Amino acid sequence: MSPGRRKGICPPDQARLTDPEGGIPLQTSDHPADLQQLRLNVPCVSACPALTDVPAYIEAVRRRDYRTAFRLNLDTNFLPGVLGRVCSRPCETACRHGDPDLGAPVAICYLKRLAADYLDPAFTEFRDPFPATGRSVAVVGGGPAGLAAARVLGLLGHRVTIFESFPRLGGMLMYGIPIFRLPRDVVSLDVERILGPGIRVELGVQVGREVRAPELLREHDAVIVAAGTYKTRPLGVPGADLPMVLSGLDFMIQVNQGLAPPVGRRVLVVGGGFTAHDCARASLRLGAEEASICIRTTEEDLYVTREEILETKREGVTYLNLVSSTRVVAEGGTSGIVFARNRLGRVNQSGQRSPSPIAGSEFLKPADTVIAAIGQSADPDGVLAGLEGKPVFDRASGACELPGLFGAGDFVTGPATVIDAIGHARKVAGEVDRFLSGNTRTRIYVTVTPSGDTTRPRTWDFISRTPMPDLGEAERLSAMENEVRAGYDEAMGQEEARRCYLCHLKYEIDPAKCIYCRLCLEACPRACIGLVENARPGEPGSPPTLQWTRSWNETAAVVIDSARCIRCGLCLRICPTRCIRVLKLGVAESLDPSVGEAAQ
Amino acid sequence: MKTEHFVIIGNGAAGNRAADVLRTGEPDARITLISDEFIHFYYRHRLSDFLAGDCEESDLLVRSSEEYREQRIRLRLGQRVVRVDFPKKTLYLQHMEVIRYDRLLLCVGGRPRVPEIYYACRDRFTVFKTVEDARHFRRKLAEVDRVVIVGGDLISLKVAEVLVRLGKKVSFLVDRDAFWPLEADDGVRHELSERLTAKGIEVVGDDGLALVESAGRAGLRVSTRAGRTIPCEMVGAFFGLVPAVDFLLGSGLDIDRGILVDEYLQTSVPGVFAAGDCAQVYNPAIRNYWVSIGWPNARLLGEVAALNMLGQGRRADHVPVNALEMDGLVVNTCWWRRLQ
Repeated sequence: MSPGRRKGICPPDQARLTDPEGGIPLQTSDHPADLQQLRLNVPCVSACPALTDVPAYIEAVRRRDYRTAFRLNLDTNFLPGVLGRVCSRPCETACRHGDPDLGAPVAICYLKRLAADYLDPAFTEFRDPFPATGRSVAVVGGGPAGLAAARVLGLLGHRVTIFESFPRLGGMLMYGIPIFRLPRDVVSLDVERILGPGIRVELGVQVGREVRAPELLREHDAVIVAAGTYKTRPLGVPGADLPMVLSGLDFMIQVNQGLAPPVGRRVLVVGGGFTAHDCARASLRLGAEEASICIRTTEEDLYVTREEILETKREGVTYLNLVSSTRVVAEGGTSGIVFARNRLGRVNQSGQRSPSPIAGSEFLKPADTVIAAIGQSADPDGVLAGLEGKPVFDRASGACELPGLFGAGDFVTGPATVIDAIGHARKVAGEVDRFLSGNTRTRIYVTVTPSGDTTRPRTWDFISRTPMPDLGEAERLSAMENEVRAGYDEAMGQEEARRCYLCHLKYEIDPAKCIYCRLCLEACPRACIGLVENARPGEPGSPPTLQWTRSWNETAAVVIDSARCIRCGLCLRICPTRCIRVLKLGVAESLDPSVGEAAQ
Repeated sequence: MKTEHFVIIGNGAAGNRAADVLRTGEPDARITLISDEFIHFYYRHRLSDFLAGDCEESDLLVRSSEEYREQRIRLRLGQRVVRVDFPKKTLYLQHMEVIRYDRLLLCVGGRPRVPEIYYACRDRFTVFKTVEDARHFRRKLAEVDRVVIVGGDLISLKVAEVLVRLGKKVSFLVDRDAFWPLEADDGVRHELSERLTAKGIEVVGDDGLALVESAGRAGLRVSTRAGRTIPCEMVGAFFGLVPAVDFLLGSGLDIDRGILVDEYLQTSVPGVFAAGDCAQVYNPAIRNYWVSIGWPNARLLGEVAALNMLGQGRRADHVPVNALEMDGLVVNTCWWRRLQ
């Protein structure tokens, strides 16, 4: 049975719906205002492109219930073992524990890894698929986006065929990310778990060559292109075609196939993305003595995580900031790149820096090997060869002018992170299902459940972030396959999981019962309880705007500011009238089978 | 009319010079000088004398509280700025106090650099930059027989000499990038080794630090890349300074290694200036960005920044010292010339 559903703003104290099975009062909503409430209350969940229910799984880790923690990830982001190692962690950037005066964000990513590492090996749970629809979908590309789309559509009862040009599934996980950051058995295990009944895989088939897009469109009811971005941007300066200049992605693909492309003593990597960092770190493992990452702006502007930069530096990679390459030279005894220094420039409207070279600032940086990792793009001409015209894919829905043809992941959005690709593919899969069934069967809901007080003592708020154990520098560089990060053990995981404030708990004061005694205001350690004079209806799609006041004479209600609240529960325990109530916010994807059946 | 509030973060050579210049130029303005140290403005280069016991803490001081009172400069000691909200022109101090400013000068200086390759050893390093570090060093020395010094910067030479004078056994691991950010060539490194050896310091050259481990109660064990182990009680890390700008990351201010400024010492945020060891500026003469080093430069830059805060449009001419002299050893700092 699907839970009851109510559209529109649901103030938590009204319109409580009853779950017919559990008898637990439950309320769900997919109204934008409630999604906005989720964003205010639980920043980690809304920051995740796949809307992973972070506090719920961290709580499960704390209980050593790794099965539940794993499932909560498996159902939303599909690749817990992989993401627990290489996720870009937008959740941690948003984590309330990282607010200026509150310390460091919870190590959400490492806890995900712990759940995967310590999962009972016998875990084989697979969600029951919906009744077969008889429709078939071709997915081009077996990377994160393709796998995510296949997983969702397979569950919804469609027959899915994945076409992968490489000999193994995983895309960038298998051929882009180096083995010292992501062991391959982890990838294989996660991928195996995704492939359920209804999903067929064709390996070593390159769409556009062995099979062509028009054929796929004829043979299948829908086609999702999730072919990633494998076309590399050339360096584009004089000398870029010299043999000492390698392409970053090709270099990594070779390394990841177990080949050892020769590198010189001094390596310069041009570019500052994940691929560039991987290239620099891999070349040290291939015998280079010096490796530098050369970027046009500064380290602060890089998209990779701070931790990745630190790890890279620890291995001895240096950074050459604020430079643009003007030419590559190899003549006589000197070889290297002639750079110009850059001025940083302002941030433009799209949030990008526009650095400009300084006249007369050219200098030669000697090098034996140059690796260009300055960008990748999709190759629609190759994959979609044979189609008339050039389809333009809508970023939000993945659809294009051709009915039945969709695009997902990096192929549409441009190079992004694993979690971005999965989040995007999940949305596109919903659209594809709508196209096939004529109904909306997947919907994201905010769930609201009454809850007890937090189970955390206040002292846990002062635990500092548990550092990740890792290999020493020498051991790292001695072999390509030595995984740099060792992973938390169980005790470390428990300790780290305790740090999570559990922001999915929402403390609310009932104005009807409040006697304005101020005890909660005095107990609150973060001054997040305030006086409100009025509440005005917000813009459509957002919650009401509160008008705060400092005057008791104008006070209409005492209100907890959920965006600041650290869920310590002190207010609740001190309240003499028990007027504070705790609700638990969750996020769920409702796959509604009744709609699917009606469609058949 | 509302008086302007000039706030200076950093109580060093640049900050103090700037405060004086601002006071002269703007007799009525409010001037606040914030320092995270508890001590008054002091001579850093005398810290090794203090370590040796040749002088006391009071001898280090440059100026007294009375002078600040006379100049009507509000001095806030022992207060750390943790965040700056530039659009709101507001500083947040660690003890939750909030300060508004009209014009801001950042003279936050440097903090001891620990190269990331030694990240795993960082907790076992003893650094030497502030008077607090010097006190700690001095206290610790009582229980120490053998000290290993890693890195190699100007202050380390003096400290090593002092330690020998105090009867300690000193081993010196000369780092590959000694005198960073200056480029010491083999000649300089060789001369350095000879001078140190002549003073009774054991020099470990052509080798590098691999690991510092704990070895029992107060003991440490240093392992080198070549496989040597040196037992000791203290590891002094001397890798130079890096701009202490961590608290400004993510604030919207343009930062590379240091705070990026133009030749008027203006940062990317209007009304906010930077001077001294934390300001990074492009220098056409060396075709590179440059962070000033040393007391006279800091003083000069502090003066220029203050004049520009008063709207005078003064350019900072680079006065690169060609050589830094320390104890008779001249280190050529014209590292940039070679780039041409």
